[in-house]
Amino acid sequence: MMNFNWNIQKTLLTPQRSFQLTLEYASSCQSVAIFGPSGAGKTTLIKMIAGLVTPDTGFINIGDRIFFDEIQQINLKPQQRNLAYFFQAYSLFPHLTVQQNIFFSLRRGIFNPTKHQFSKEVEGLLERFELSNLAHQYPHELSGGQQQRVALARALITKPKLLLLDEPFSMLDYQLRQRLRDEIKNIQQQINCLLLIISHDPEDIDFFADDVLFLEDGKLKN
Amino acid sequence: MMNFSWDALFLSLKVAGCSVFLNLFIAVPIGFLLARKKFIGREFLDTILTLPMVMPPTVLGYYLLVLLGRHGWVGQVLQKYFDINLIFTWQGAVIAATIVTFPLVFKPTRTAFETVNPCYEQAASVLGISDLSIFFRIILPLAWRGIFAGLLLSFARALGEFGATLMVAGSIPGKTETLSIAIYEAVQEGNDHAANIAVIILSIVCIFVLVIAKKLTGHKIFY
Repeated sequence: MMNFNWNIQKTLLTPQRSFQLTLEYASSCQSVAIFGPSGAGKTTLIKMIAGLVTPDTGFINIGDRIFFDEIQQINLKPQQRNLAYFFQAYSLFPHLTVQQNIFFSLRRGIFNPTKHQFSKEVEGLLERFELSNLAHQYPHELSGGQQQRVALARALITKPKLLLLDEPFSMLDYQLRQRLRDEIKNIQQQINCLLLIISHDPEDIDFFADDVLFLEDGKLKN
Repeated sequence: MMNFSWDALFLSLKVAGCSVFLNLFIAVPIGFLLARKKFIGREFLDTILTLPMVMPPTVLGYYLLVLLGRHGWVGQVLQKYFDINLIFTWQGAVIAATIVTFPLVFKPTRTAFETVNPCYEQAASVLGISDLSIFFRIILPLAWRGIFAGLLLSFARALGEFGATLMVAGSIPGKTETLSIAIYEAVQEGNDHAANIAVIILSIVCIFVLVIAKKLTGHKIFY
């Protein structure tokens, strides 16, 4: 079975230029890495998979699910895709503490988790990512590397079927980077999810990826 | 304090309070729509809706009088089907205050919603949170300061509303005579003592409201 299978076109229009993405890929690998120069369309690709950007034409199939199919007129909302997306800019909710940020997706309805809402899962992740002593801090009080770990924990708590990581370790020192790679790999194996990672770091690619894609000028190359 | 018209103060507070309440349900949603929905004529609509801020209140009051009066088309409909007459009533004063203060609520509301970075909504939607929940859990908590400051400003402005209110509701003591109109009447009658007290009370209330509004907006903690 193809785990990753897409064939999409997307034209990005900015006042300065028009940029054409033509992306085709099919693979049965569990983990795929994408690298390439900045501005090549990596983040746009991952946003199309997450459902935050709609392709012009084509299809996106992940695992046994159709995320997007222009002909069948299928376009799942981001909420329906059961994936976790680690944003390059973290996008931690600034009005919530570390613990509330991680708890966020476990709480349904129109209220945020309270400051002292307790959960074994959250506690476990706080420990795994060395965030226990920061649980009640706000994102603006954290360093870049700490924010990055919170964003990872927040993404992983949903037990996604697909994990999208956009430059996940860029702000971490060498040792922490290695430790977190192990943690993520462990979690990935535990919850048995697919992984798509954007990275500039060859070590990330070696560590995670069964297959590597090179994205340049809006085109994918193996 | 004998000459001071407590009725006028309570009427002013009632009218200002009601106009804030109305604007919460009219100006705030419109501010949200203008911030988040792209449509043709959006900026034109914004300009039109800002007009009450620059138009003289007497002009607004005159428009309202023409519209809501016995021969105005809104006034006719209200009279014919609901047996409602708004002219020379305190409800008319509420309408006047609501329209005069409308831009003071909708402008900061629009700005407040626009300054919420969409990346937080995207992050929440990927985490499986519904659009309605995102509004209450992300957008509103990040925007409420600006909205609340706008509502407070509009409250202070509505307390001082004079021109449009006088045109629409007149100055019937105990019925439509608000505090700012009572001040004018007191001065006209040469009753300086009553005017002094009313002026001081109105000034204190306005300063109090402005200080709170300033505290809320100047206090950008981290977002």
